[in-house]
Amino acid sequence: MDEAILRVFSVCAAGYFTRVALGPATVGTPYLQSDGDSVAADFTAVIGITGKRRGVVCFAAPRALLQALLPAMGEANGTDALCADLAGEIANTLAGNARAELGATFMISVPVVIAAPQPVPTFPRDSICYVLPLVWQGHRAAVWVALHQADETP
Amino acid sequence: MKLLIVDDSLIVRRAIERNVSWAGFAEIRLASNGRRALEEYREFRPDVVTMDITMPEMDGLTAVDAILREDPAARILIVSALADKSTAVEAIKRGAQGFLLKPITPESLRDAVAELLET
Repeated sequence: MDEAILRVFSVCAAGYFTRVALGPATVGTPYLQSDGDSVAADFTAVIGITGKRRGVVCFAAPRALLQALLPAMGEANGTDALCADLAGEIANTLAGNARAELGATFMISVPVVIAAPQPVPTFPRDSICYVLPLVWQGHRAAVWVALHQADETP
Repeated sequence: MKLLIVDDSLIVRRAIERNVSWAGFAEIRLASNGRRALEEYREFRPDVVTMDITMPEMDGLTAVDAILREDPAARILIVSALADKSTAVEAIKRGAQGFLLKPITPESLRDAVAELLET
């Protein structure tokens, strides 16, 4: 996976919060997932990727971030159902917006949202996964990107 | 006038519903996937449809095809996060009247719906 792809997701994530949340998010420098890292968060939305690239894109966020963001979407109540819905919509939007750069062969699934304490997905043993840390209004979240070319072994 | 809002996200469905109040739709219905949209369309015969693309059971482009087969005059606005040009071009080719990119804002939605209502 090249740096350009990570830049695409970084721009998409920053752009989402600027457009929707009436305040920018700070997207940090991507880093390689280490064995000790976990995608665990209160809500993790997983998008499956097929086409020229295969893998997953995840948006993982704490309940507090999603509850703080819901009023910007016009929702007064931060129920778990709405938090899960919002996490899925954010993941869908980031992955969909990435197609502006990655093209229509970057095919995305509908989101699957996992709420803690349900187990989070495990990435294939040899897949390379990058984490884009994100901070919005003091809340930490992350975009996880684990992709490989369809003709490569993950 | 009647509006059908199709999106698998409840938050998006409700956001669109809230932000089209200015247009004075007499009745608004919501559907969470393309299959439900087609059922609602047959029963409800809305004047305008907002349609997501990436949805479970039946995607939005398939639903556009199905609705237009039954009613070639249907007015459909695609509201999707898929930002590649080819998807927007494909949606218009299939007969959708407009394409609005997510994330939506009240302003972008108002402009897109107003343009659709003028057609």
